[in-house]
Amino acid sequence: MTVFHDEVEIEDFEYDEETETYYFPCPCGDRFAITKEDIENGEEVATCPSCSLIVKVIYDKEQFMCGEVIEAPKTSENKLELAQS
Amino acid sequence: MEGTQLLKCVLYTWGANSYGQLGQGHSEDQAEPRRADGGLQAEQTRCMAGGGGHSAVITESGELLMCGQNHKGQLGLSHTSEVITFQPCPLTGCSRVQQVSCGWDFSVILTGDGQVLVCGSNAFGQLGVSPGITHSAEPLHVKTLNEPVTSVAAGLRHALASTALVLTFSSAGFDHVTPQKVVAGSTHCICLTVKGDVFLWGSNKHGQLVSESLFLPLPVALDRSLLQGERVTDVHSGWTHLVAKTESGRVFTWGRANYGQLGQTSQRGRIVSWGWNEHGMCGDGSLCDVTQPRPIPRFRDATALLIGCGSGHSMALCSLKSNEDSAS
Repeated sequence: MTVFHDEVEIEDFEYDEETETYYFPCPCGDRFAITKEDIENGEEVATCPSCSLIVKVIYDKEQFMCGEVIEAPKTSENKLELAQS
Repeated sequence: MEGTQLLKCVLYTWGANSYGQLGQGHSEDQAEPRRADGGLQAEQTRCMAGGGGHSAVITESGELLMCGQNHKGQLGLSHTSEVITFQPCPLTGCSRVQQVSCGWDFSVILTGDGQVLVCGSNAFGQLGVSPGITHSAEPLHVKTLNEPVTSVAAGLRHALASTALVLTFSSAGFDHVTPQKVVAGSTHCICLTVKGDVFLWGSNKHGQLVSESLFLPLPVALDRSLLQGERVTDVHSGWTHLVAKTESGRVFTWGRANYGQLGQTSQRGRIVSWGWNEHGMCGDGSLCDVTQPRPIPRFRDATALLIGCGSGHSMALCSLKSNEDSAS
């Protein structure tokens, strides 16, 4: 396992709406990047495209993770029927 | 031949160059120094600074030149295109530039008459102008600084400026201090006073503030006894480490060390020897006198717990790594 260069809270990342990616400065001059999708999937590592350094992203997983799509429940009448039968 | 000898000054740059920040006319990383004076006259450079992806240079005559990344207008050239050779930054109403400091994606310019101009990203308020301005490719005047500024500094997302007027700090018993210069790390701040004291505040995540707290919200004076009581004459900072020069010319470094940035090897428990070696008491395998402290090769991976010297012999109690042959 590679050593993390640093641990950075998600709040310290800059979010780009267009690319849906979070960015944080890397000492090499480029930026550590992690996509919104990665975060939603519980990913914790932001990588730099120009060098080998990586950072751990600190965030509340419960707050960000929403990988499942939950369908809206059907109308309540059916449920009442079931309960009564 | 009579006449004064003119020293020719040449600017060299090297390292990361994805944005042309080396000013060499291309964007290939360079592992060795190469001349970067394409856009420069044969003038001497009096100040140079580097940001996240851009570079700034001030000539002897006070002209400001910039190159590199410019997506937030950090070069102050009124456009946001990358520049791969040093270009003059035209500053209206300003005859001379005194100092420049480059942050991650913004620049802070100190003019000859103590005014501060800023350009680049203002995403975190680092330009010190209206929050409604997200970034500026034109240098903006920081109007709230209405006293002549003597020093500026730029960190990742913050900036500092000091004036010549006496400041008052509320802690540490120092009532009046006169700043000599301000310096910024990635997320910490330094103020060096004319009396040679160093004040530190901001993030202490990597021990750069020599404090037990993770964060110092107010300036705290660095304990001079750590520098053997000497006055500090100059101080510089990287992202997370500091370098200070004292009145005797000694250099001290502290802060983050994991990439070797402090220029020190771990000294703890290392055994060194020097002096008379006729009977091999220096332990380096030779019988030649050792004139400078040198590590003893045999103990390279050992940690000394106790050492002792006799007249012509030496002893050391060491703890070895578990896989070492303890019988040897």
